[in-house]
Amino acid sequence: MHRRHFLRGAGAFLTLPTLETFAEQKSEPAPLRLMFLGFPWGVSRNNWFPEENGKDFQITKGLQPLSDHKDDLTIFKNICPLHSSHSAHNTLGYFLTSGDHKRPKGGAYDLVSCDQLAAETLGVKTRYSSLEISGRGNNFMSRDRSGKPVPGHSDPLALYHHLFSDGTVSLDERRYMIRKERSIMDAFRDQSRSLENKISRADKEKLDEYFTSIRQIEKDLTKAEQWAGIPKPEPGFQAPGKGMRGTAQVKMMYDLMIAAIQTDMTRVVAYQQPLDRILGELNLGGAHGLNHAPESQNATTRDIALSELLAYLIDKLKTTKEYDGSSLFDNTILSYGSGVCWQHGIRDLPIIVTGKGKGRIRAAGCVELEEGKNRLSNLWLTILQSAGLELDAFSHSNGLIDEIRA
Amino acid sequence: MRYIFLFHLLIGPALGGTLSQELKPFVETYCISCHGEEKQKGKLRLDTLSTDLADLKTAEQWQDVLDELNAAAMPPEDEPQPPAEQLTKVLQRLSYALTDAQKLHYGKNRETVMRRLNKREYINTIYELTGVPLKDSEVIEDQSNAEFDNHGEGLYVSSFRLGQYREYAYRALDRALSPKPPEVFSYEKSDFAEEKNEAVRKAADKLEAENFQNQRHSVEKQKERHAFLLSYLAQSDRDEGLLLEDGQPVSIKPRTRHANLNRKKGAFNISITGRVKNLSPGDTPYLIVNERYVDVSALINNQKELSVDVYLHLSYTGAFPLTFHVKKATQPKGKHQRWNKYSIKPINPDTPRFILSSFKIVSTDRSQAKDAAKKIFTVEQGETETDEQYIRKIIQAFAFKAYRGRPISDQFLKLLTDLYLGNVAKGLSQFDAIKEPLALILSSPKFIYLTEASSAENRYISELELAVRLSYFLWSAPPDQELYDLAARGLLSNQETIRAQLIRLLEDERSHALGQGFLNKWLEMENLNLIDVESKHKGPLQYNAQVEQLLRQEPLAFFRTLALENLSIINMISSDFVTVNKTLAAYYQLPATVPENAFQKLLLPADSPRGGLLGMGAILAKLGNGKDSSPVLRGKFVLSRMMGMVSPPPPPNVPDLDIQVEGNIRERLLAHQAKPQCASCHNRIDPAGFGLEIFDQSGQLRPVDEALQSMLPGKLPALGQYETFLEQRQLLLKNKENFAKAFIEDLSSYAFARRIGFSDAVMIDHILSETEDRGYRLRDILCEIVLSDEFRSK
Repeated sequence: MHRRHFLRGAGAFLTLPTLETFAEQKSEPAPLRLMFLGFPWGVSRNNWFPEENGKDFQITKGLQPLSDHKDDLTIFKNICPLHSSHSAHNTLGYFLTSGDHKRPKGGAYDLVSCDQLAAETLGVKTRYSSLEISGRGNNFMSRDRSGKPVPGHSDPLALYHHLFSDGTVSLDERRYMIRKERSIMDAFRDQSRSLENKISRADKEKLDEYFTSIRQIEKDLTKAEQWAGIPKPEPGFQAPGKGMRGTAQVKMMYDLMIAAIQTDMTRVVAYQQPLDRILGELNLGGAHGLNHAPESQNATTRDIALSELLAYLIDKLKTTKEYDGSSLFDNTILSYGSGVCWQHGIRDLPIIVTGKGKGRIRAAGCVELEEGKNRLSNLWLTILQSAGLELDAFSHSNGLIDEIRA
Repeated sequence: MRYIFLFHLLIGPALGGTLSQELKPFVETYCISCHGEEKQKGKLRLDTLSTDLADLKTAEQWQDVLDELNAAAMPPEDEPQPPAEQLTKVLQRLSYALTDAQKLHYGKNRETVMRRLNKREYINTIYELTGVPLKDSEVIEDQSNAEFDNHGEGLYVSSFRLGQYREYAYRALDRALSPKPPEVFSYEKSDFAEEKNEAVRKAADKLEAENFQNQRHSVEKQKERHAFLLSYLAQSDRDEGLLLEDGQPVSIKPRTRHANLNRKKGAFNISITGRVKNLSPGDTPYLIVNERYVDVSALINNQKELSVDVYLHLSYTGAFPLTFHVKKATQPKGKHQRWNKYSIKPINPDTPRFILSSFKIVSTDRSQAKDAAKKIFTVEQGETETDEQYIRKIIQAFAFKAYRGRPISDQFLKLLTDLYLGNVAKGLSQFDAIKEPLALILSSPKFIYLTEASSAENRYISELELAVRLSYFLWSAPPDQELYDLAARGLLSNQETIRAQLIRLLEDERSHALGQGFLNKWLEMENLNLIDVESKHKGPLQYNAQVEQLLRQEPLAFFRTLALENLSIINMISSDFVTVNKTLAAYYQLPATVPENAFQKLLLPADSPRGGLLGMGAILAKLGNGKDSSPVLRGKFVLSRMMGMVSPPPPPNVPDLDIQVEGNIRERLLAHQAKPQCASCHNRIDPAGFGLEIFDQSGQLRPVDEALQSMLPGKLPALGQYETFLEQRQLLLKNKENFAKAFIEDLSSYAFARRIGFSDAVMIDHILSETEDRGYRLRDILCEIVLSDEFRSK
């Protein structure tokens, strides 16, 4: 146990089988969870979107691995982020905000991503208000209220420890450390104030960012205080090996996401999926090149590989039981998509929604949205409302997507 | 203001008229009926919209118009459509005008904002303070989309990041204050002969002892194998080293106590003592070290030590694979016999042989300073000093360095000292107790942020702040003692002192950071990470991971040569030399008079296409997808980097091209231009890249034939047509003022850690005119930048 891990560790030494522990603690029914998955560089032109609309569609080649889950899917056609100003090359940067990155209007609803907004409400009762995961290093999908990217976990092993490893520090010592940390934050704040007196207005904005971060740490400390006496749950599997990559890494991340929501460590998960190494494993060449060759066999092979991964995740959601006997799939709304279609097209984003969301959404098969009502922000609004957020609008939304509302 | 004139000359003829003149007929014919006086669909009215793009709102509205036109969403399908040629012109005019206008808006706030240290600076700064090199892979990415990695606009802070900084600080301090000495990554072996002879002798003895009666093999096979083993031992040089045949690999495995080499990744120096014999005249012997072909001609009939710097990712076992390879001058008749793993025919002692006597490998990465702890405990405790006094002094001194010459507040010092004392009271040793206070210094705002005090009355920064700017610009690291001393004595405002310091700082090894921070980003070298470059060559020097490592270093070495020797930046367009090592010289098929372990200037034959950035393998390779070269990417590079023109980003939603065209890349690209949305930019971009088709996707020269020659002709905006690459390069030289201007702008942008806009024109113009007479030499330019008023003001 290192002193700096204390914020992550929980303190007690108890290790009880997960499900029973939680069942005892929970008298309420299982909560609703949101999962947002984004993958880069789009899909193939001919082999992804089904021809027919409605429940009775023919599954396409690129989605073949999802055949078993066909009845549980909603596949959108003609959904778009409204702004042509979306960068065709930073395809996930504005996926969950649907904001206009060239000239953000300011204010939360143009800048914040829907997962982070959801976390403010759904994350109150959990140890971590949300969980962000990205392939390697740069995560751009999740954005805080000022539009800054929220860094994500990219190492499965580190994430495992973050979620499930308890330290060996005693409860008193942990409480002492939290107090100490508070005084350190005060000292840092004082130090920045001494800078603030001398600097210009532009610098003050940068410093504000710092103060916001300090406040966030203090909020985390408050949470850590609340959770200090409660042991972390057991995930039910061993810590992953070091240096996992490619398909194995994505699967492990999926496993960790499932374990995190099953043990109610968090209720909101966003995962910006990596692609390069998966393509490397299959010898498919570069991701950007494939995006510009949407009719190639390789593009379809890529789609099949990604669909296989998604099928793996859905299988797991369906087979993982909650303490109340329902499955995770029953209680989750999972969205899965890319910020680009193919080439530079961002008009017709490939997006799948699945999961039953405690009966608040339903699978509608292949849904072709009407022009004028096809804003991506409408989808996020629909999902957020279904999850119980009291919101009238998200970004530039102009309505709800009734097709998936139960 | 000559360059401004040229600038318009460049854009002008292609576009004609003012923006308003150009747009008016188009708007009147195709837009007004819905977006005019009578109707304002989508609340947009175009007949009264000004074309003054200096106005932000106006520029934004035109951006919307451009987006719609690019998406072919307007005019609506059932309305009359503009002819392709007219649409192309309008799109082009608007795209470039808007990209230009962006600069106008960036420039409004000329202040260098307070920012946190970026990743490179952070790693370097921690190294200077603790003597511990954090690995690139263990530090969080910057997540910046800014033009350069030191621009404040892209450098965010979050609670997560602040938490990480604390963690890294502990990590560095743990290593610096560890009682164990830092691991030395080296391995040496010189008993090859003994080991091999003994093993062979043993195997032969065993066969004899068993009287060739081993059940698993036939008697004949065992006898044959025996003869083979004896033939190895019969070789006259068997006691000199391990004898390798042509094509024979050997894997050198360190013993377990050297397990610290396992999986290690980084730069190593390998020394091999050996001798090559039995070569025919003209043959070239190589040792292949992890794909790297090392020419070992120097060892022919001459035992010597040879040393190679190489970048390796060692295997799980830490084994080093070496292979001996002979490139025959003439192919002998019949099938050439290479070493065969399964052959047990008696060895022919007259065939080419490499005699390996010793092998040594040492990591050459920045390693932990030997006296890392001394960087923290800079003085010993005085006899009369109490522990508390001493530690207070140590913390104070460390904070002074960490805060770049600014003192720690009494209050914070007390908090830290108390923490230390509390830790000691809990039973921690001095080394362990001090980690916490120091880690807090290394995660406090005064360390994380580069700030400059400013006031309304005085725009100028202090001498100390100037020292910090200078060192972070040239080194991406904190100032050294000499700079601090000069600043403290108030000498840094002196022009001659600055000049001398600039030269000193450039000559220091730390100035490699300038190439890594500025040049690599300017060239967008990170794109090379995204592709796997194929090699179609047969020769031993293929494009492979090892060659790529060297090719990546070439632009940096070239840039450093320009800076250290104060040569003209026009050399980037065309130079009569390259800066290469021996392997790269061979890759470029140039006479190899340069050493293997250093990049040096090598003069080129007059008609060589290699001089300048456009001849560099890494740049040519990254301007493609690895499989094929891309005239589009190359053309864009020529326009934006070699000509200093703005280049609009690829617009979203451009309608797909439905026509499938047969033919070579040139024909396909020309067909591409049938769509106005494509043509508006590609009719400039593509013809600027055709000339570079003399190089293939791996930067090798293509064989010259008719097909190739028909690919090359192209056109450069405002400079005219060319038939060959050399003509193209000549044309580019005519544009050197514009190149220099754009380059100085970009270098200034990095130096000032902010975007450069129109309001900086006077400064850029000044630097340009100051350096013109001497032909825009790089060090002169750097000097003018650091002497400029802007570099000294907030």
